[in-house]
Amino acid sequence: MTDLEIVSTLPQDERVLLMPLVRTTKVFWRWAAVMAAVALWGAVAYVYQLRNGLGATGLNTPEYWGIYIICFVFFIGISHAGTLISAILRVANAEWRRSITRSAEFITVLVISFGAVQPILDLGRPDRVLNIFLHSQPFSPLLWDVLSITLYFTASSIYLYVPMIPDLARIRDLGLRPRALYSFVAIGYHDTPAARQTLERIIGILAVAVIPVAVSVHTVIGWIFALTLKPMWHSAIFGPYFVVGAIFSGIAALIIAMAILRRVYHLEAYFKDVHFNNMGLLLLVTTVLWFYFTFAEHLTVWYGGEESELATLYAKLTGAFAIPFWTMVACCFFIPFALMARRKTRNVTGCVVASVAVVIGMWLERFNIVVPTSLHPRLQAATVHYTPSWVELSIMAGTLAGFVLIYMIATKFFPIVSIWEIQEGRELSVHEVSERVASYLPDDLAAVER
Amino acid sequence: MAITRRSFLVGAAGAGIGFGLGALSHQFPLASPHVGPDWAPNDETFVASTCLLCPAHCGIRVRLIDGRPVRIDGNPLHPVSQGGLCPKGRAGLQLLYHPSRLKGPLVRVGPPGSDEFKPIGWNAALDRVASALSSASQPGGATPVEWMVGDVSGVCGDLVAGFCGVLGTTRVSVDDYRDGSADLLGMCQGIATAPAFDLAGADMVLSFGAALSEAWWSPLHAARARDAEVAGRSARWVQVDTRLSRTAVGAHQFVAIRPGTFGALALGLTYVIVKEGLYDADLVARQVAGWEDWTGADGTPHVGYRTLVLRHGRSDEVSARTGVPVATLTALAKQFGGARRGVAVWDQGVAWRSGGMADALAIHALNTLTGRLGRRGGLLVQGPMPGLPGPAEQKAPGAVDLASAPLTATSWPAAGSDPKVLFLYHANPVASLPDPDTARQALARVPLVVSFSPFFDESARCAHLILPDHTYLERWQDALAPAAVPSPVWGVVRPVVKPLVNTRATGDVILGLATRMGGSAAAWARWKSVEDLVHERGLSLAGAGRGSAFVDRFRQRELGEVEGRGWWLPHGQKPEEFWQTIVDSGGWFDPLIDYEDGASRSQLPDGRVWMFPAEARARLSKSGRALAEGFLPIDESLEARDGGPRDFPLQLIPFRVMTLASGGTPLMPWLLEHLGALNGSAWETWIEIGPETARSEGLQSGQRVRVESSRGRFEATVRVSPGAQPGVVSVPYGLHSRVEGWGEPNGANPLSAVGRAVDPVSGLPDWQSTRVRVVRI
Amino acid sequence: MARWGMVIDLDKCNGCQACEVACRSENNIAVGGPQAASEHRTISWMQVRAEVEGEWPDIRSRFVPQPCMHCDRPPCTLVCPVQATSIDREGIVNQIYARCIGCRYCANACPYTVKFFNWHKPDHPASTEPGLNPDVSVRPVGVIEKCTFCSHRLQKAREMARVETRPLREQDFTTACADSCPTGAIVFGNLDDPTHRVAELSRDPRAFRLQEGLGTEPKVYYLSRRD
Ligand SMILES: Nc1nc2c(c(=O)[nH]1)N[C@H]1C(S)=C(S)[C@@H](COP(=O)(O)OP(=O)(O)OC[C@H]3O[C@@H](n4cnc5c(=O)[nH]c(N)nc54)[C@H](O)[C@@H]3O)O[C@H]1N2
Ligand SMILES: Nc1nc2c(c(=O)[nH]1)N[C@H]1C(S)=C(S)[C@@H](COP(=O)(O)OP(=O)(O)OC[C@H]3O[C@@H](n4cnc5c(=O)[nH]c(N)nc54)[C@H](O)[C@@H]3O)O[C@H]1N2
Ligand code: SF4
Ligand code: SF4
Ligand code: SF4
Ligand code: SF4
Ligand code: SF4
Ligand SMILES: [Mo]
Repeated sequence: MTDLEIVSTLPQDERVLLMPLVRTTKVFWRWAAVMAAVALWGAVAYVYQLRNGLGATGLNTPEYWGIYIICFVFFIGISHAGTLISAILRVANAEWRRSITRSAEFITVLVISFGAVQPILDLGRPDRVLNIFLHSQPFSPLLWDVLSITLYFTASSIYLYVPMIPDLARIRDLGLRPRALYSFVAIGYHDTPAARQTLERIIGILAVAVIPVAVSVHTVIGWIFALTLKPMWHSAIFGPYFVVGAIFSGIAALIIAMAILRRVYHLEAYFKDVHFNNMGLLLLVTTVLWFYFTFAEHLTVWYGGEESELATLYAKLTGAFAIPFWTMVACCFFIPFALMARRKTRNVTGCVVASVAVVIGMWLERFNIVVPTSLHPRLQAATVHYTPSWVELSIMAGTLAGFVLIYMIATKFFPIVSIWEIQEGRELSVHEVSERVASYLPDDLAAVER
Repeated sequence: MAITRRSFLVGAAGAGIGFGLGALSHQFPLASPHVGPDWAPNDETFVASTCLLCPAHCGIRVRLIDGRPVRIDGNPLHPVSQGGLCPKGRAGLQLLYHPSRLKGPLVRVGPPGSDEFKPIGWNAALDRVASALSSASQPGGATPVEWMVGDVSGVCGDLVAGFCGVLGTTRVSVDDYRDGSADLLGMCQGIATAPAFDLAGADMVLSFGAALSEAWWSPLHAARARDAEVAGRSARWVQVDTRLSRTAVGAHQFVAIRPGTFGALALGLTYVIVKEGLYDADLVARQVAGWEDWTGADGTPHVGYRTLVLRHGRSDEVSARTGVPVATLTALAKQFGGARRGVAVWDQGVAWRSGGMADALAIHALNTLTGRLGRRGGLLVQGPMPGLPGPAEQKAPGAVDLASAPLTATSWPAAGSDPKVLFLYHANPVASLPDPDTARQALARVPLVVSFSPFFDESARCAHLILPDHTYLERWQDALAPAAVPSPVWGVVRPVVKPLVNTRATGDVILGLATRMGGSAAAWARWKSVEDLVHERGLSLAGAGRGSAFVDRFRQRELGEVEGRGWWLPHGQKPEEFWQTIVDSGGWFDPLIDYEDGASRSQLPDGRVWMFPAEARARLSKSGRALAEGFLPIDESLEARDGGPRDFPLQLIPFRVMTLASGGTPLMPWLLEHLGALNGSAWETWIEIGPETARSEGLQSGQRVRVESSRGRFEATVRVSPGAQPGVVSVPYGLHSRVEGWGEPNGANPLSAVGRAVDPVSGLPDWQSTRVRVVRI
Repeated sequence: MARWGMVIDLDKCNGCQACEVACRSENNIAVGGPQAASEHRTISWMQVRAEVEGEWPDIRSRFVPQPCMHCDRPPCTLVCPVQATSIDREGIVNQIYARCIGCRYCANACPYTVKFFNWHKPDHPASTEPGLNPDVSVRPVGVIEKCTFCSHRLQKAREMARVETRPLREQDFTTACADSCPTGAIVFGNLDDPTHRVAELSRDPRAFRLQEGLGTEPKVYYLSRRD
C-alpha cells in the first residue's frame, strides 16, 4: 500500500490533515521552485557581500544600520505569532485555538531562525561571530539579545515539538515514509492515557514558561535601540512598544498563513470563520494598542521639544520620511481598524487585507525607527541619505523566500494542524467547556450557605 | 513531475555546500601578521628639508623608519613656519609614493595624445635632446628653444635662466606667483620687490581679501602671527571679503563686501581717517608726494589723492557701493587710524581683475598715509639675501631675466614662430590653460617637446620625451622665503630618501645637456651636480658675516637682538662645518629686521613715497576706460561687459583652497578627501552660492550644474552656503589636473569660463571679473 | 594615574585641516576615494566641522575639530558585545581591531558620530606601503575604527621613560594632531596633573564640552569666547 492509499482510508480528521504529507501538487512544486530560486539569489547576493565587504550595501556614516536590522526586528516580531499567541491562548484555555496553534508555532520556529540570521548578515566580520561567546561583554544589550533569542528559539522548538509527539507517533504507527524519520522523532511515544497526561502537564508548564521568554525577546530588541542616546531611540517605552508591535505583526502574519493553508490544503473545516473572527478581534485590540503606544511615543518627543529629537520627529512627520511614516500609520491603524472594528468585514477577506496592511506597516515601522534616527545624529547636518542596494534587497527577498520555502516543506512532513488536539477537542472539550462555563455562573446560594 | 522530495532535498543540500564554498573565497585575511625571529626594533631618524609644494617654502622634518619616509612634520627650527605645516605639506608623502610615478625616461612611439610611450635609457634620451639643441642653435640669431616653467625657486630657476643664456634664447615663461605689488612698490617707492608684511608685529591687520589662511604667500607666517600678543594686547585681524572664506572665519571680524569694490572701501576708510585727523599730517607733508595737488614734470597739473578722497570717499556713497554699513566703515577707519601698528594687506584677490591696480594703489595709500611703511608691524621690504653664487650669473648678453617672464596660464603660447624645442618644467599647460585644445595644438606644432614631469600628466602625454624629475623629497635644491616674509630665509632642499625610481633631477639633466653640447655650454656647466651648486651657495653664506643656520625660537630672538645692536658673533666654525649645520638644521636665516632703515620706505632719489604716481596715472588713463580725473579706484564697467546682467546675472569669484595646489594636489588623495572644510566637499569641484541665489536660480545643494560665461563653461556641484553673498558664485581653482591611477576626482577648470582675460593696466590675469549664469544639468 | 585629555581652542583654530591630514598620515588611514566620498563613507578620525550662524552679511562661523571625545562614561564601550572597544585605566577609549565583529553598535551608540566603519577593504596601493607608520596597525575590512588619542605614542613614550628610568613627562607624549596644529589650538596632556597645560586650560572660563548634557563626560574640551 502506498502512503496515499493508507491516508485515503483514514477517518476525516486524519485523512484531511495528513493528506498534505502524502500528496504534493504541481502548484506546490512550482511555488517551491520560485521560492528556492529567490532564496538562492539571496545567497548569491550574500556571497557577493562577503567578497566585497559591507560596501556592497547602501549603508554609510551615520546610517550604520539598514535593511538587515530592520528585517531582524521585523522577523523576530513576526515570530511572536506562534509561541506567544498559542501559549497565551492555551493558558487562557481558549478552545478555538486547537486548530491554529501548530501552524503558528511553526511560524515562530522558522521565522526566528531567519530573523536571528539577519544581524549576522549585517556583521562586518561574520567570520568572528563566535567572539560573542569567546569575549562576551555582559553589559552589551546585543549579548542579552543573543541569549534571549537562543532561549526563545530553544523554548519555541520544544514547545512546537512536544505537542507534536502524539501526531508523530500516530504517523509512525501508520507507517508513512520516511519511516526512519518518524520513528526517530516520535521517540517511542505511545499514546496511553498516562503518557497523554504527562504530555499535557509538560505542555502546560511550557506554555507558562515560554511567555516571559517571548516578552523578553522583543523587549531586549527594543532596548538595543533604547539604550543608546540617539534621538527617538532613547525611550523608556521601547520595550513594551516593541512587544506590542511584535504581537501585532505576529497575529497578522498568522492570519495570512491560516488563510493560505486553508486555501491550498482545503482546511476550511478547520480554519473556520470563527477563527478569523476571533483572530480579527485580537488584531483589533493590538491595533488600538499599537496606536496608543505610537501616539504616546511621538507626543512625548514633540512636547519635550528637544532640538535633536525634533529634527528626527519632523523628518518623519513632514520631512524626507513623511511618505513611509504616514503609510505606516495608514497600514497599521486606519486600515486594520476600519476593517476589524466591524463584524461584517471581520471575515476571511477582510482579515487578510488588514493583515497584509499590518505586515507592510510593521515593516515600515521598523524602517521608520531605524533610518530617520540614524540619519539625524546629534552632531551632523542631515545631508546624508540611505538607499538600500540590490544586495540588501536581494538578501531580504531571499530570506523571505527561504522562510516560505521551509514553511512549505515543513507542511509536507508534519501535520500543520494538531490532529490529537482536534480529536481531544471533539471528545473532551465540549463536556469540559460546559462544566467550565457552569463554574463561571453564580453558585446556588442555598448550596453555598449550607 | 520529475522532482521528488528526495531530489529536491539533495539539490538544496548541494546549493548549501556550493554557497559555503563560495563564501570561503571571501576577502578576509586569515593569518594575522606575525613577528618573525629576525625582527628588530625600527630605526627612527629625522631629516630636515624644505617643502616645495607652494612658494611659502616651509621647513619640513621627515620621519624615517629604516630609511623610509613615513611622516612629514614641520621643522620647529624654521624661522617662519616654526614647526607648522599646512595640510598640503603633510601630504607630500603621497607625491613620493604615488603609484603612478613614472619609473624612468619615456619616449613617444605613437602619435601625440595616443599615450603610447616606451622606456628609453637616460643616455640615449639626453643624446637626442642635445643633438636637437645643437641643430636648432642658430649662430647670431635667437635660438628657437622655449622653456615653460611652473613654480621654481633657487638654483633650479637659475639653472634654467643660465642655460637659456647659453642657448641664446629669451623665450621663457615662468609662473613667479606675482600679484603686481612689486610693480606697485616700484612706482610708489622705487623698490623693485613685492612688499613684506610684518604680521607678527602688527596689532591690527586689515586684510582686503588676502587669503591669509588659505593660499597666501606664506599661510604659516600668517597662522603663527594671528594670535601674537603685540605690545601687551592681542592683535586684531579684520577680513574684508566677498565670501565667508576660511580666512574670514578665522579673523576676529569679518566685513562682507561686494565684489570689485575693495578700492572704494579703501577710499572710504581714507576719507574717515582724513576727516578724523587720524594720520600724521606732519609726516605726510615731509615724506609723501601726490597727496596734495601737484604739477608734473611736463607742467600738467594733477589733482592730489587727498582731493579725490574728499570728493569720492563720502561714507554714504562708499557704503552704498560696497555694501559695508556706514557704522562699520567708520568704526573700521577709526580702528585702523588709531592702531599703533596696523597694516593693510592685499594679494591676487585684489590685483587680478580689471581695475585691480587702482584698487591696490588705494589700499597701499592707507599704509602710506598712516605712516606704516618701514615700521614695526607695518609694510616692510624683506632684508637682502647675501649674494649667492650661481649659474645665472654667467648670462650670455641679452639673456633672460626669469623675473620678467610672463605668467604661464594667460599668455602662452606667445605669438610668433613656434620653437624647435620646448621644455616643460614643473608646468602642465594642457591642464592649467583655460582651453586645453589650444595648448595641445601648440604642443603638437613643436618638433621636440620635453617634459620633466615625474608624472604622466596631461601635458607630458603630449610630449615626445619625458625625462622625469625627482620629487622634492629626493633631490637637492634651495628655496627662498617669499617676499612677504620680512627677513631672508634660505631653505635647503635635500634628498631625504634615495630616489625610489629611475628618475633624475632636472637641474642635473640641464648640466648634463650643457656638458654634452660642449664648447661654451660645457664651460658654463662647471658644477658636477645641483648638490655641488647648493653646497657652493651654502659655503658662501659662511662668509656672509651675518645670519645663522636655523636655531630654536629662543636663540632666534637672541640673535635678532644681537644683530640689532650691530653685532654678529662668528660661529667659530670652519665653512664646511657651518654648511653641515645649515644642512642639519634645514637652512640659513638672518633674523634682523631693520626698522630704522629708510631704504625699506623709499629708494627714490628724493626719498619720498608716492600716492598714485605719474606712471600709474599714465597707465590707468592709457587703458582707455572712462576715468574721472585720470583715475578712480572704482570699476563700474563689469555689468556692461559680457552682455549685461540679463544674460549673465551672477559674478564669478574663483578662490584657492589650502588643500589644493595649482596642479600637484590632485595627486594627493589625502587632501582630496578633505577639500572644503566649510562645506565638507571632497573629490569634486563645487560652486558656492547663497540661499538667496539658490532660490532665485532654482538650485539645491548637491545638484550638478554648468557655469557658463560668454567665453566658456565648466561643470560643478552646487553647495548652498549661508556664507556666500547674493549674486555671487564662488568656485575653488585647482582640481583641473589629474593623474590617473589613484582615485579620479570630479574636477573642473574654472578658467575655462574665465578665459584668458588680462587686465591691460597691470598686465596681470583678470580672473575675478567674469559674469556667469548657472544652468542645471 | 594619568587621565589623558585634549583642549582645542576654537578662538585659535583657523580651520586649516592640518590635523586631519596629520592624523591620516600618523594612523595609516586609508584613502576612500571619490566613490566613498559620494557615499559618505570617508574615514577621518579627526574632522574639522564648520558651524555657521546668521545670514549674509551678518554671518559668523567657527571651526570645530572633532576627534573621539574619549568620554569618561563612554556609551560606545558599554554596548560592544565582544569588548572590542573599551576604556583603559588612563581614560583612553581603544579599539581592538582583531576582535571587532563589525556590528557597528558602538558607532550608533556614540553621540558624536566619530566612529568609522571599513565598508570596503582599505586600499593602500603597494607603492605607498613603505610610507605606512609601522607603529600603527592597518585595519582589515569590516571593523570599526576611530581616534585612539595616538595611544601608540603613549606606549612608546612610556617605554622610553622606563628605559631611561624616569617618570613620563608632559612633553613625552602628545598626539599627532596636537603636534601638527600650526596655530597651537590643540593641547594634549594629563587632565589630572596640575602642571600640565590641559589641566589648566580645561578649567578656563571659556571651556565647554560637546553635548555636555548627555553625561558622557568627554575628555576633549573646547575653548571659545562665543557660547
Ligand atoms: N593651497 C594653495 N596655495 C597656493 C596655490 C594653490 O594652488 N594652492 N597657488 C599659489 C599660486 S601659483 C598663486 S598665483 C597664489 C594665489 O593666491 P591668492 O592670491 O590668494 O589667490 P586666490 O586664492 O585665487 O585669491 C582670490 C581671493 O580673493 C578674493 N576676492 C575675489 N574678488 C574679490 C573682491 O572683489 N574683493 C575682495 N575683497 N576680495 C576678493 C576671493 O574671495 C579669494 O579669497 O597662491 C599660491 N598658493
Ligand atoms: N584651473 C586652474 N588653472 C590654473 C590655476 C588654478 O589654480 N586652477 N592656477 C594658475 C596659476 S596661478 C598658475 S601659477 C599656473 C600653474 O600652472 P603650471 O605651472 O602648469 O603648474 P601645475 O598645474 O601645478 O603643474 C605643474 C606640473 O608639474 C609637475 N610636477 C610636480 N612635481 C614636480 C617636480 O618635482 N618636478 C617637475 N619637473 N615637475 C613636477 C606635475 O606633474 C604638475 O602637473 O596655473 C594657472 N592655471
Ligand atoms: S604652505 Fe606651502 S610650503 Fe608650507 S607646507 Fe604648505 S605647501 Fe608646503
Ligand atoms: S566620543 Fe564616541 S567613540 Fe569616543 S568615547 Fe565618546 S562615545 Fe565613544
Ligand atoms: S563594531 Fe566592533 S567595536 Fe563596535 S560594538 Fe561591534 S564589535 Fe564592538
Ligand atoms: S589624537 Fe591622534 S588619533 Fe586622535 S585625532 Fe589626533 S592624531 Fe588622530
Ligand atoms: S590644525 Fe589646528 S588650526 Fe588647523 S584645523 Fe586643526 S585645530 Fe584648527
Ligand atoms: Mo600662480
